[in-house]
Amino acid sequence: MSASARSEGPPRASSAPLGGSALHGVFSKSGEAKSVGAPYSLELKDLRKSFGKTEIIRGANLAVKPGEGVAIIGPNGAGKSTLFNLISGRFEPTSGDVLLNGQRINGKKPFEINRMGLSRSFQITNIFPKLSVFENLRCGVLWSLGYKYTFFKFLADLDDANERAEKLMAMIKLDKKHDVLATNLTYAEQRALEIGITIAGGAGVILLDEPTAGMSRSETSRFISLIKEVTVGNTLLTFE
Amino acid sequence: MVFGLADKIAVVVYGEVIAYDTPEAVRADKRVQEAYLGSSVADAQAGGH
Repeated sequence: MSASARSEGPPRASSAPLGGSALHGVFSKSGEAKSVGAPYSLELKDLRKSFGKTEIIRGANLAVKPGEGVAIIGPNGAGKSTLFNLISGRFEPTSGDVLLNGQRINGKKPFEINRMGLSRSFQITNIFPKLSVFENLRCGVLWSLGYKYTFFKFLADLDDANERAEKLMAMIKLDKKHDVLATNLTYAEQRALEIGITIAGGAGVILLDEPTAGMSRSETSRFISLIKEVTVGNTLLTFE
Repeated sequence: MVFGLADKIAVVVYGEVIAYDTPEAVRADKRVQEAYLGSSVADAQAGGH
């Protein structure tokens, strides 16, 4: 499978934008924060993280170019989850740096990092089971724009949010499930919805935690094609 | 695994990125083989003892 993926050349950066850039037209919030022209989307520089006396991340270095798809693999306990949490802002590094589009993000809060253009997948429990597919996506769009408490701003931009949620729904191929409650979706559909919510803000860098965990082989291959499609042009890191 | 999504693979072992390259190059990397299979297997594959 990987051999065929390689033979397509460097496909992620060169194909027509369906994902991030196509959606940036509707909202530019994350686009604004992006410093264009940084050689790397994401950089880890001698990153270290200790819990008590135990050093879990021991000088990790990585430089991911814009548009690259990277799978982070390693034996159990190697520190993959810790890395995921360090990059997405849940943990603060003990030392070293995490750079997003050339800007230091260590010490920033997850939502700040999100606004700067990095979006991470959430666990399946983070979709709203009693809301429809459409409503879930619209929440994702509005949340990514920081409309939690600014109600008047919220109303003004609701049309845009609706439009964008519709677009996302088509991208993740759930447009026929517009009004279906998330709880009534199949597992694979719920994971697709989760991807939709993750890319809702139009972030340039997407982090996915075990994206195909719990899926059957056929679901997995379909899901991989879907992720490929909706993240074209984006930098994608998957943690296995 | 979603190798199908990956232009590159980063292998994390003991909190360090020990390899970062194309899937083929990573698969051929001796340190990666050692991490996953143990050093004796990697030595055997490399024609060592």
